[in-house]
Amino acid sequence: MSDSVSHVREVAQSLGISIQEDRLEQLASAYEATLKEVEATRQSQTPLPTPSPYDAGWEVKR
Amino acid sequence: MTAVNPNPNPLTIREAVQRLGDKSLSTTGLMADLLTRIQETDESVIAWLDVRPKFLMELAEANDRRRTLPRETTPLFGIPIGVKDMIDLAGYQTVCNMESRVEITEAPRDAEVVHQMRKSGVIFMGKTVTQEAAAGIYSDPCRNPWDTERIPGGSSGGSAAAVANGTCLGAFGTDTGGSIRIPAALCGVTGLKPTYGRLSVEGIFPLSPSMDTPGPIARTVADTMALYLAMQGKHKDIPAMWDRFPLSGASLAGKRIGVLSSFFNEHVQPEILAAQERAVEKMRTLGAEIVECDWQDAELARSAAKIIARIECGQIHRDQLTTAPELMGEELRKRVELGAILPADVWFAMLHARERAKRSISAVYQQQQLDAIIAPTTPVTAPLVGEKEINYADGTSEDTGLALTRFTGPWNATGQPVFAVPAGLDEKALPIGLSLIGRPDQEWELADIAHALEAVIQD
Repeated sequence: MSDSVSHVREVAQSLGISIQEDRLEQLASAYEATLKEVEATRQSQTPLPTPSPYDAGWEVKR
Repeated sequence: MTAVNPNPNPLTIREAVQRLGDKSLSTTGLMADLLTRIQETDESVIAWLDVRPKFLMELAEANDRRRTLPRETTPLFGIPIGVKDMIDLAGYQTVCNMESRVEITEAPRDAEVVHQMRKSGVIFMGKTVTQEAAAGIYSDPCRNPWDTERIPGGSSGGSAAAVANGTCLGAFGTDTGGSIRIPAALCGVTGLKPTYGRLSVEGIFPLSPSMDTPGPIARTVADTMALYLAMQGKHKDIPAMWDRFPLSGASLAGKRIGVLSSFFNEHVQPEILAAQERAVEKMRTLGAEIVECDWQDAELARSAAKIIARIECGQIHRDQLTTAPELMGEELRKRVELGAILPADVWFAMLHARERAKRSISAVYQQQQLDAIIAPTTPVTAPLVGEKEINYADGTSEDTGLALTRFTGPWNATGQPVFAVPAGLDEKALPIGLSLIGRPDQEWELADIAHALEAVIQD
């Protein structure tokens, strides 16, 4: 977590955003959780069904 | 404590239009009743921010005088409507429940959807309470009129509470992650999140521009669609529209309704699942074909909607984060801080995920030939004020904001239209809400299904 806290502090400073020390840990935790969630979405993407919805699109039913 | 229906004999827009037309009701009488109700109840519900009784009574009197003239009036002439305080209403401040905007100048003109609706003849009652910057589901200080120890949901909490409490006949909301549907569900009223991009957002303070949409909240599907037409400036179509929604005898013959498994069944209050089962059975008896199906990208869609909203919100409020962060409430500040520091590759990954979700849900509709999907609007009924976590029977818990947006966010990612309809009460007598999700730009077909369900679900 301390690595995350340092990283978040660094990023925030580079953007000119001042984050109070007592908020950094909570923000770092949310930041890490978001990156994990993004990674999970990358892992969870199943192959697109056939026929390709690129072709099917949102055609009006019937 | 058991909740109590705050407005057991509600007047619908349809009834009011009829009664104002046949003069069994006057605009002055209607307005006086609503203002009295606001005076008597809004101290505890706090749905309204800026209501000007003298001005409104003068408007109502002018309205009644106008009715004595031979010229035909407009279709929603004299119908009192609330406006969420994220949306510009000429002559009123748009504070967005943000401390940094408390001294903002009154809006010089209406937002586009307000401007269009004004042509229908409605009377704008004033502004309704929103969650700060529309970023969340609490809508503090507004309370749920069914039980004022509970939240109304949000961010359009004031609008839904005002309609549920009988202090107006309809209201404007905005929806980015569920902000129309969640309060509609928690307050027992009807809400429509239109297809993304269908209604103008001009004059509406943004939260996440790639998902923001305004939409109507009212008591019935027909009322909601009348307001939806008015928001588009199509008020001339309203008189003929009422016939589309017969008061009895609706049929769902030939309609195929999807029921999603897994994601939409997990960690849901049992009474809500039971309400959905009842609704499905009722729809079957009306002739609908029910199709069990799955959407494997539901969780992906939820993540995409949530994280895109965080990033866009972070960009919109970033200046304030550097200049006056102390003026932000904790809920907003946490979102903005996180959104502002997330790297660009997260943004691109989530845009990709959102596209993927749109394509995979379109495949589900195509393959199953669905007209609509039914799902719970929220996994639980109205939480208590201050209840920051929802505890489930299996011992797990979830942040209240994340729980309430779990079933609404995916549809913001896909941009589809969604009707949130009331579907009975739980054992505490709190409203349960169900969602009907349609194909993009098929609001009317969806409204037909929602209307048929509405007619039978409250039995």
